[in-house]
Amino acid sequence: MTQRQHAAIKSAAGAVIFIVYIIPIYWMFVSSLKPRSEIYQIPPTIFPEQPQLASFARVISDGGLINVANSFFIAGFTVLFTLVIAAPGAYALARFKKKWTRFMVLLFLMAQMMPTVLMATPLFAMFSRMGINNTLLAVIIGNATMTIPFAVIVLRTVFLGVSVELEEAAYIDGCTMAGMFFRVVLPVGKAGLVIASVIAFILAWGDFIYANTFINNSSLFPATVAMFNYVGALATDWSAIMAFAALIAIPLIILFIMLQKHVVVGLSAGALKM
Amino acid sequence: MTGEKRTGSILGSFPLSRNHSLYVFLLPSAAFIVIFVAYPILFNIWLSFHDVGLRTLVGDRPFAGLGNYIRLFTSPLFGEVLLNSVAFTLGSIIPQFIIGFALALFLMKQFPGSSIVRGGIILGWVIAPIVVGTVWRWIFNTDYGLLNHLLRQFGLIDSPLSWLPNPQLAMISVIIANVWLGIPFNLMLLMGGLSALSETLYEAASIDGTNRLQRLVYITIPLMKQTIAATLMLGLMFTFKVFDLIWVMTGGGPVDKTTTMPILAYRYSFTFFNFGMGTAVASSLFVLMAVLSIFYILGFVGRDE
Repeated sequence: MTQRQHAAIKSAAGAVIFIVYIIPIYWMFVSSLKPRSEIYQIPPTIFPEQPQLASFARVISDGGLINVANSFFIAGFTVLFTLVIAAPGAYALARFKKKWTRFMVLLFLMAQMMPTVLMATPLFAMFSRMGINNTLLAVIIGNATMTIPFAVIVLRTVFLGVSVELEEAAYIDGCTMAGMFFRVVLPVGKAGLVIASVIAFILAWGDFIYANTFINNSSLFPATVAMFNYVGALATDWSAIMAFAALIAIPLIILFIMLQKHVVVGLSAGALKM
Repeated sequence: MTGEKRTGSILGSFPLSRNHSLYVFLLPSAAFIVIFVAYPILFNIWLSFHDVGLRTLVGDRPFAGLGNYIRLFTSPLFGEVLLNSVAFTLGSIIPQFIIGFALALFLMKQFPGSSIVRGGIILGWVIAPIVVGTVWRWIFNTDYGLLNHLLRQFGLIDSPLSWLPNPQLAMISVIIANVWLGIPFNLMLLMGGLSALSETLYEAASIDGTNRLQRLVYITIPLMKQTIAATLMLGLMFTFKVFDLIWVMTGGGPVDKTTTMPILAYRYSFTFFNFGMGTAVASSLFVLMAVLSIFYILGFVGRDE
């Protein structure tokens, strides 16, 4: 067998694996495009016979775009909040040479592994005392309990690779610590910042439990919670449910295609969710 | 990890590592972790020793001693839930790992389209777990679901199976969905481990006339021991705490057949508003996770520093 034939067989096998794995995603999109009459056809049609966007229109007329906008707001501010808090902390943990630095790093690592159900009840109680339940801020803080530990760990590794000599030279040249951080450290660690942002965005966008716990005003629901309520309320309208699911999936699929390399690095770097 | 081969500081007696501004840099993240992670965990444990309902969540909470724990550990439900958790976790991580490893071996050698295949599989990790669970719930639908249709097409079943409403099949169903969800993670970690292996060793081995299976068993797997153990350990922790997927697929039913510890904790707290019991379950979960993560950290973290 020639090298070429060998590669062709591998490609063919790869195509089969790809198709089999991707079936659920395909089924989501196909179902979202079927009219109600077709979605309850037995046997189901593998390719939609009359593809249409009516189920998306139903979701949007129910306020689905407001929920998607809430998701963008939550995910965007979670990323911002995460970077502002985590980047300086990660830098400090990369530069300190003290006995307790390692202990701190391990604490962040452990924090990252805590289940969300564990955090939900005490945070709910704290937030109701602080009076911020039923606000998007509560959800952003909840998400940050996952994303800040992750970002600290990932960014610390990145900053460890930034040359100390460069920083000290800037410092001698009269830079303040803050100036040096912004002008030397952050630009060199840019790739790390992108990785931390992308992963934080994916996690916050996908959050269900915190928003479901802290928010009870439907106009503040992110898309994940609104879709979940669809499953309960309109259990019969599966094309609308799949359209909602697709609306949640599409932005992340686009993000993934644009930043695939960073997602891959982030996924392997921070042992995160599954 | 790089960065540790620093030479002496050019700042002489005042190196960066002793600059007090670093404390200011550290403060926000340390404060955040203390206030919003460490304190809630302790507060959660404190709540579990009290009688807490919706009206008493803020304010007077009568001390309950070990009451919640005694009620929990003596209820027949708890044993069942623990077994469900173990079944769900083992049932998920073993196939995830095997499939992930096979795919990692397959995708290591580049071929036309290999990066597309890998990208398609990682998509499964990018999509929100609640969406994944919803899609699988639809796929498992008894009358209109894709799975029953395909099984009938291939002649594997005569009449549609009721997957999620059937107490005997519900657990298998959520496990199948969770295996799908976990493959990308296993694939990526194992590919990372494989790419660190030395090519020359393989070349030497293939000159020695070993076949592919022998190379896998005698070279790859022993060299990958650390990566394999870390992957399984992380898989164990992440699978044990899965919530969204089960919550949307079955809600823990039918008749608690898919109720795992996270589901039980959340249901006590936010369906029945019995926060005392909810936090008792969550605290048990915490102890378990803390032990596992300490094992993980001791075994796999920090050797590179």
